[in-house]
This record gives sequence, C-alpha cells and structure tokens, in this order.
Amino acid sequence: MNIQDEKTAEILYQRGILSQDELVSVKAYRSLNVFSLRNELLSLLYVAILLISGGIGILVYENIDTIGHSILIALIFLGAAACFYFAFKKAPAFSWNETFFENPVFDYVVLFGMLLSGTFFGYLQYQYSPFGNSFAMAAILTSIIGFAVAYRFDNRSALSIAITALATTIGITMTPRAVMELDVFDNLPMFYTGIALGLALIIWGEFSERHNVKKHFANFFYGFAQHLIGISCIVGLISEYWGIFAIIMAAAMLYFFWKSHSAESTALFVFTILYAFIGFNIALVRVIILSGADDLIMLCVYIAPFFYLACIILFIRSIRKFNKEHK
Amino acid sequence: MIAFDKTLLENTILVESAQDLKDGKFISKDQFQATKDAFPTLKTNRNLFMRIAFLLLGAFCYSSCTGVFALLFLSSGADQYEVMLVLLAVLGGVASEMLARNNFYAHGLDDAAIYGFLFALGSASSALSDSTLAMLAVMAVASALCAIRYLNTICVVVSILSVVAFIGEVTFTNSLIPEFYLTIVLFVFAIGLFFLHRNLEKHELAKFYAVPLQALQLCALLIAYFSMNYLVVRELAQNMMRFVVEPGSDIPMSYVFYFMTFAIPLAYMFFGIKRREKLMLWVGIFTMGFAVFTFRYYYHILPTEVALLFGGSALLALVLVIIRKLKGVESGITFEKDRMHDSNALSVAQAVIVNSHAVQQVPAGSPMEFGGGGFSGGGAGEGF
Repeated sequence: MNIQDEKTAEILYQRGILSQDELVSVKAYRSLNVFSLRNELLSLLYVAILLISGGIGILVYENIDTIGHSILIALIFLGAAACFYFAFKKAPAFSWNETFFENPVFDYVVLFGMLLSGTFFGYLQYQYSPFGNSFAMAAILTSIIGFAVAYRFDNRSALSIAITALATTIGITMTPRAVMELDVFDNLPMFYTGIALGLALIIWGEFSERHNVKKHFANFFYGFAQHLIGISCIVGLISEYWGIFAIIMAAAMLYFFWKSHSAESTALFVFTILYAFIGFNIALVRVIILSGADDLIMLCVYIAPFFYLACIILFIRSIRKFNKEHK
Repeated sequence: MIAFDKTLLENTILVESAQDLKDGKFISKDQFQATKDAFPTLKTNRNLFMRIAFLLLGAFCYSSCTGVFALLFLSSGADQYEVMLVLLAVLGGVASEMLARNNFYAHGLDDAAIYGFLFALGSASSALSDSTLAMLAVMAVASALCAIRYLNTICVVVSILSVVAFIGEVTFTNSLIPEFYLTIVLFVFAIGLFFLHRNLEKHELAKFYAVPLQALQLCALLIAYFSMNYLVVRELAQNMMRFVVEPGSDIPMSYVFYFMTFAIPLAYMFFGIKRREKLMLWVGIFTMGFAVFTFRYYYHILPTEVALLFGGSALLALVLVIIRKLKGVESGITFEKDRMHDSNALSVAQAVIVNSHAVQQVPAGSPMEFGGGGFSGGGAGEGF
C-alpha cells in the first residue's frame, strides 16, 4: 500500500464515507509494510518450468536417433504421470465451482504435467504413428487431456492449451495440406472452421454459465470465441465472398454486444465495438469501390475526418451508456 | 504548467486510489460509489483496452485529416510540403490543448492528439531544418514539455530516447564525442536521470506524476544497464566502430563490462527488495536474464538442452526454497498475497504465453492467424 492510499482513506474518513474502524484497519495494514514477492516468485517458477520443458523438447528432438525412443517416451510419460499424481494428492475435492490449491506451486506442477503430456502425444505419434497418418489424433488427445486437467484442477493455462490444440485438430482435419503449406489465406473453409469453432465455444460458454459448470471459465470461452470469429470474419471480408462474412460478423457482434451487457464485461464490450467498427469500415469501403464512382471516392476522403469524429462521439456515448448501466 | 483543472486532477487521483482500496476490500462497492459521486473526476480510462481503442480511433481521425491536408496542399502542384506539416502540428497541438481543457486525461483521445502533434512536429522540423540533430533536439524538448503539461507517460520515454539518439548521432555522425566514450557518456546520462528521478520523487507535485516518474526510473535503469552490457558494447564496437575482435583478444576494458553485465542486475535486485521497489526488482530479474543470454552468446560451454534443463532446475529449486522461507510471513517481505495488488492479470498472461510454447510441441503446429486471435482472446476475456 502506498502513502496515497492512506491519505485517501483519511480524506474519505473526513467526508464521512469511511468509518473510524475502517480507517484504523487501513492504517494497520499499511504499518505491516507488506512487500509481497508472490507474483515475482510464481513468475520465476513459471519461467523455470518453461525452460525445463523446452530443454526436454530439444533433448527429444536431438536424440531421436541415439537413445531408444521407447525409453524417452516412457520417461516423459512417467514425468507427466508423476506430476498428475502429486497434483491429485494435493488437489482439493472436485467441485463445479472455482477451487484453489492450498499451495499455488501445484498449479505449476499441473502445468508441467500438461506440457509433458503434449510432448508425449506428439512424440508418440511422430515415432510410432499409432493413430495412423494423422497428427490430428495426437492433437485431440492433448486437447482432451487438457480439458480434463483444466476442469479437474481448475487450471486456466491447461484450458488455453486444450482450446488451441482443439483448433489445431480441426484445422488439420479439414485441410491438411493448406496448413502444411501455410496458405491459409487462400483457403476459404479455414475461416468457416474458425467461425464454427467460435460458435462451439460460445455454446460451451453459455452451457457452463447456465448449468454452473465451472462458471468462471465462461468468459474465457467468450474471449476466445470473439477473437476467433472476429479475425476469421475480417480475413473473410477481404476475400472474394465477403457478403456472407459481413452477415456472420454482424450477427456475431450483435450477440457479443448483448452478451457483454449481460455479463457486464467491459473487455468483451470494447472488442465487440472495435471488431464491428473495423468490419463495418471494410464493408463500407468495398461497397464504395463496388459503386465505381470516382467522385464519390474523392468526396469520401474529404468527409473522412468528420466521419471519424462522429464515430468517436458515438463511441464515447455508447461507453458512457454501458458504464451507467453497469456501475 | 499542468494543463488540467487542479481540483479535478486531485479528485481523479483520489478516486483511483479509492479503487485500490476497493480492490483490497478495505471499502465496499457502495462506499466506492459514494466516493465517485462525491468527487467529480477528469474523463479518464482506467481500462487499458478502452484507452487503446480510443487511441486507435483518434489516430484514424488524425490520419484522415492528414489525408485531406495532403490532397489540399500537394495536388495543387506547388511544393507546400513543409507548410502542410507545420499546419498538421498546429492541429495536433490545438487538439491536445482542447482535449486537456475539456478534461480528457489518459483517455486515449488525448494520447492520439499528443502523439500526432509530436509526430507532425518532428517531421516538420526535419523537413524545415534538414538536420537530424535539430529534429532530435526539437523532439526531446517538445515531448518533455508534453510530459510535464499533460502528465503523459509515453512522452517521457520519447524524450529520453530522443536524447539518447542525439548523443548517438553526435558521436557517430558528427564525431564530437570520441566513439569509445559513448558507453561511458550514456552511463553517466543514466545516472543523471536516476538522481533526477530521486529528486523529483520528493517534489510536492510528484503525486500527479506517479506513472511518468516510473517511466523515468525505468528508462534510467535500462539505459544504465545496456550502456554497460558486454554484448551491446561489443556488437556496437564491431558494427559502428569497425572494431575487429581477434581470436584470443577482447575489446578494451572487457573485464569491466563483464563485471557490470552481472553486477548491475544483482544490484538492482538487491536494492529493489531493500528499498521495496517492485519496478527495480523486475528490471533486475529481466536484466539478469539478459546477462545469462550475453554470457551464452559468446561461450557455449553447455549444449542448449542441458543448459535449459540445468538452468531451469536450478531456478526451480531456488524459487521453491525462497517460497518455503517466505510462506506464512505476515509483514514485510512475504509470499502471501498483497491485499492491495492482487492481480488476476498474471495468471491470464501466463495462460496466453503458455500457448505459444505448447503449440510448438504439437507437431505441424496450428495455423498462425487461426490460433493467434485466440491467444489474445484469453487475455482479453478475463483481465478486466
């Protein structure tokens, strides 16, 4: 706590907003002079785990021909199993609500186990191809483990790995070659996949919220879905068949507009407006170009500053309205 | 010198720290609302996304103005390029002043106007004087004035970077400073900034400048380190001064730079903890990482994977020992949560970063823009 906070407490006390007991508790807390290294230490722990997991990744890659594969794979499997064993031992009883490890270090044990699992499936598939020719199986297994771990141990990092692995799975299954050659931009179905996954995430989020299934994950799903749909649609709007994406974008942003109000989420609201604004501008420019009138284009350049001024005013108004509704 | 209404500015700072008290659960939501009703504030965006959104909108508006100006001035055939830039700078300056008068502070729009003003001013001074030095000098002074008048944080960084660039330009192009002394000049400059910060901190107006002062401190610490870092000095010597390092030899005074490369981060960490300054501690941790990188850049004693494994394990062990020691301590340096600054942002940031790491381990990887959107989604969804 800094000096300013204590001063503020005193001013609030003078104005009758704060009671004397509360002022005393603020002063008492400040006199403890707490300097918490929690975030620093946990971040360093996180870095350490990423370093070790990266080291293992390189080790596997370098020794793919010398050490026996089965030994390495078995070691990685044992490592992951050990992590999850300790995590299970220390984990609080399962609940559909938010839970915490008593010692936050175990969040990182879970994360390490998750990273090892990813390496395990990837390596297994690369070496022995138990799932045939498709890497999608390895990815989806990682994803399934990720979701299981995320829900059991209430771990956001695992959830985010799971969702990304899921995206990988679908992307590869739909158009394997496009992904290999990285020419996703020419590949229309990719955007549809992105939008479909976004939709699935929205449904998932809604389900979580309504049936109280780890409700606090819902915003995470909405965030993922919003960016997935938003970016897919923006890329789609630049493509040839932009009409359909304009419609999808409009529908999705209407939904997110409503959602941000009901969830009282400022981040969701701001990104909704931003994506909608960008999408609207692209569509507008495309319509203007489609009209093919040079004079109209010149006129547009001249009125552009006023257009943006109007947008800014609208933006300020809508945010003020949003803040008023959700104090 | 401050452009804002003093009372409103004081109220803004009061409400911000009341928000801290609310986050620390010292006051209730109702009490916070009562505070907000009792103290009218400047129009400001505490939410970073909101601020960036307005910055973007403002930048769109400003650049569309640039487009109109360009059409008016450049299509007539006469070369009125400089006039256009000057007028744009005037427009930016007027907009900044208007926004400040209308109580826009750290809102995003005001940022756009200020940066637009600085950008146009820099371009104009460069076009008019045809000299980089003049441009850098104008930028340094103008952004320092903006930082003081509008309490803007980025302006502090721009101003300091302009001075650093000025020193570099004087050294390499005009040769006014012997090249070899560049690192020492910059180090002295950083020490000057450091003491400037120490003095300004005690000034009566310092409470208005909390974040700009932190930026000043950050710049001082980083410049001090990187002017003395072995990697930076050696690469600069090789690239800019055409210095050739023969096998078996080294740059002059290399031992000093080696010493500083590791001593400065340790000093930062030590004083960061001793003086209870988070910023210094973080810079210390970051520069320590860079020191290790510097060392490994020239000496490959261990293969990468072994280094990663050993380094990671050593760090892990160290952190676990410290955590065990600090756990349950109630006052002073502790591992327990600080009620005031318990932020959710860290876990979200970790969830985002882990993705870029984990995806590489799934063979074939995911298509970049496909997952890319998702990552930041994780950050956005929960942070605020």
